[in-house]
Amino acid sequence: MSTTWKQASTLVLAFLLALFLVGCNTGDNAESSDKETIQDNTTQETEENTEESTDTQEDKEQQSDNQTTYPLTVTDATGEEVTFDSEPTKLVSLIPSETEVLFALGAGEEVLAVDDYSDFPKETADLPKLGSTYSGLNVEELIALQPDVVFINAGLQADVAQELRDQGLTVFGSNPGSITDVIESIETIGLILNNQEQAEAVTKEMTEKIDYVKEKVANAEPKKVYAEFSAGWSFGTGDFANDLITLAGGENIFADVEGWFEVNPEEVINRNPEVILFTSGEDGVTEDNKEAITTRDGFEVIDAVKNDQVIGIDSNKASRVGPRITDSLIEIFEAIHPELAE
Amino acid sequence: MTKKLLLYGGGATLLLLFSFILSLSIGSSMIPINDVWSTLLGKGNEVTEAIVINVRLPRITLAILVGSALAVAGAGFQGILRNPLADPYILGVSSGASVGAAFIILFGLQSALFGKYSIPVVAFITGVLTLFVVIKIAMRNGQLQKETLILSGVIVQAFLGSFISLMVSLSDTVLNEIIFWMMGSVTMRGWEYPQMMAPYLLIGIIILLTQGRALNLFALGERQALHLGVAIERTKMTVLITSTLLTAAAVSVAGVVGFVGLIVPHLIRLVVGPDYRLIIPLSVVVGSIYVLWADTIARMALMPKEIPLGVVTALLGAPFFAYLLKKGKKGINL
Amino acid sequence: MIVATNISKQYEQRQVLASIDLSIAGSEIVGIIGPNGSGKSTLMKLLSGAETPTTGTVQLHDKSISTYKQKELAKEIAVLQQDPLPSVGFTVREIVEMGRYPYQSWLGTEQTSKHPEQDIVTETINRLHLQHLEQELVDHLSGGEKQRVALAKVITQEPKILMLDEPTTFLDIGYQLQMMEIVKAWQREKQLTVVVILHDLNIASMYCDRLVLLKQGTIKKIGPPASVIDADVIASVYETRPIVINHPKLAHVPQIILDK
Repeated sequence: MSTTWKQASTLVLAFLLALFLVGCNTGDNAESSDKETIQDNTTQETEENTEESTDTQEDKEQQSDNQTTYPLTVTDATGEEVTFDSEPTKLVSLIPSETEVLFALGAGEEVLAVDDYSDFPKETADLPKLGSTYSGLNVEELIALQPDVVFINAGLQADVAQELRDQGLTVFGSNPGSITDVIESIETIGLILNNQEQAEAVTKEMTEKIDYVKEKVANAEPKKVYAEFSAGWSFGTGDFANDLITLAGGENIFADVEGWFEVNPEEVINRNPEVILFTSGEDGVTEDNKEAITTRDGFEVIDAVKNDQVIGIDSNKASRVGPRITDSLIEIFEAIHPELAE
Repeated sequence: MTKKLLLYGGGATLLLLFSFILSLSIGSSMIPINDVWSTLLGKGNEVTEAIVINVRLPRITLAILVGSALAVAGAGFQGILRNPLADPYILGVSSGASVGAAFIILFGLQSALFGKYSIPVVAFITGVLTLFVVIKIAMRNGQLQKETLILSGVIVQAFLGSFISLMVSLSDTVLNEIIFWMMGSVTMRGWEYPQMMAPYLLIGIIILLTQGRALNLFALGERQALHLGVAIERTKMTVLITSTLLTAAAVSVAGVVGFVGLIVPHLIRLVVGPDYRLIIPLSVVVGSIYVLWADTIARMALMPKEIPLGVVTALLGAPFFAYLLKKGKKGINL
Repeated sequence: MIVATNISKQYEQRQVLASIDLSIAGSEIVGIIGPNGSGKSTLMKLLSGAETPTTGTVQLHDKSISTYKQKELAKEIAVLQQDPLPSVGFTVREIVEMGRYPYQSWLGTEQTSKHPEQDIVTETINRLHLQHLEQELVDHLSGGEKQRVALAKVITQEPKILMLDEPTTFLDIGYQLQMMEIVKAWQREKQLTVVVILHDLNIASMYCDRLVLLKQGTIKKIGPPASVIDADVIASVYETRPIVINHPKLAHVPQIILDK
């Protein structure tokens, strides 16, 4: 009991320090925050922390300061109420985005296994792989690991969540639909894991990147963008990447369409994008992918091709709704508005 | 016969010409016929030219070539196998080609083996190889029984099908390229694909045209045909191999475009009767029209989305065929 | 014309024909008779070149029959099969025209005279009284009419040897006789060689110049009807003893009457 108390107070102190540093800009704010947290410290049962105002899903009554109080009940994106009796320490992620979140939150050591596609950060290479939703998950091995919680994407793996819950496992699904959702989701996972500090740090950095891009493109005329993230395919609204393009000062030429679709090349020529984005590996542009687009018959009249504005972006960063999504935002912004980038 | 051929053949050719011009004129940006013609004559603006000459014209051409190849190959298979279910894919050619294409896609070798022609070249080779395996299994004492041949085709197809499924499941992309390849398409292939395919098509069609009378005799039964002077085994091999080459050529450039090879020869038979001297040349023209329109719908219906070509050919074909079957009176040979 | 020397045929383990020697020459009608399974159809397949014998040789005009190109062979030998024409949607005229296949180039035309095929096709159709059915689909004809169309097809083929595999099986007696009369008249006119498998011994006796009687794959007896249609010979092959009498109207034509 006393060790927990000690830990808690250390964390609170660290948090206070962080708040103080942030608060230096705005004196009033810092002061009031200080007051509140001090109050918290003295009387355990108080109102919710103002800094936690973005959290919407978790049962806030139980929370105070930066220590998560268990049992904790949160509602996940599958609509289930998930209860944690104690701090989960045996973690499994079945989707690359959540794997990246867990590692970013400093919980990498607690991850027992991941799915086949989780390949970032590089420490994941040493972890056991449990298959994938496409080729089949090794459920037996998963159960044998006795994880405290399994992280999945509720949009892509709702049935997986159900199956695992039927097996008595605790499953937490996130399904962020926007870049702010990603930040919220990271905060919630930080809460679940009792890693709120790291969550704050991660989301703060992400928010800063978003603000940087927003500020840069605030007065820029949106450029027409065609995104071909899979040969011959593009997407309209409803896809995450569409939001990234919009945020980055672009305008998807297929914003009138919903979801992914095989594109009619005539329409691309007709809509004449100023920038064409395509995905490639982490090392950046592969000339093959670029050539496939620039040499396509009829595409030679498109402005983006004429002006060599056909740019490759990292497909993993752009498609995984994890902490690196804001890196992708910056990448896309720099692709669309190289003249504004520093 | 000649009169019938001139009548129906002339009519179908006119329809093809009309369809060609109409299809060339409609698309994402409706271009008036006048502009289409001036563009074809090199007087259009840059964008119209890019759309009409570099995008639309090659894909229409490819649709025409693929349609005629599949339809005439279907006629060939139906003639030799005398089976109502015979289509260009019955002996596993499409599965064989798909295995080749799936392999290339799965291992990302799209430009590794034969430049950008890796998929068509490999799919063509595996498609043709499949026929030889099927024939090898079916051959008894130097003779091919049609029942054994069909059975052998079914077995090989099932085997290859599971192989394709395996590769699909191993494929790690969200948009499964293998599945989309197999649904067929003629978009974004430029001029190279039609050029690659045209010689096979021309030779194949000429060979099949010379086999029309022999196929008519086949309809009476193999022994009847034999005693009327048809070299049975040689004719079978000629027609099977030619039809397979045509099918493999079509599948390798456009994926598995279904239903054309089944429906078009039947459709023609319902209208003009069982004479292969008419069915073969008419299949060439009607097959072209069929796939041309299917592709026009594929690119127009959900603009700016594309619908897989194979989906349209089947969606159009099945009900139309059912209607014809219900209505047709003359010379139904099922 | 056709000389079969010591031919035998074996399918898998089953011996169907054994050491047959048969020579058919000139203008005659040779009937092949014998009980079911005696090898009649197999013998005709070997003689017509449809199948090759396991041992022995079949020669046509002093040349092995297997060396003939299929079209050349079709100009020599025409075969009328037992089973009726399938219903595949061709008209009577289209079927009859198919007889010209061996004479046509790959373009479908004949080189000799201007339109010989039209002449012989029309002529044969008229001769077999099929004019009124000319544009009808074969599918809609009766069994007897179908067999007449099939016969018209082999006549148009202008063979030197005609082989008929039980041509009268599916026909009533009126059609049976009509069929055989047409064949006989044509045979006399063109001096053809006709080889015909017949089930009906009385018809065989009436129309054939020579009979070949098969039993279990070997020739039991060969010769003019008078010598083959004999109570003892028939009894030894068919395991039933008929009464044999001479046809009351025709000389040297024995007929059998079944006896219990």
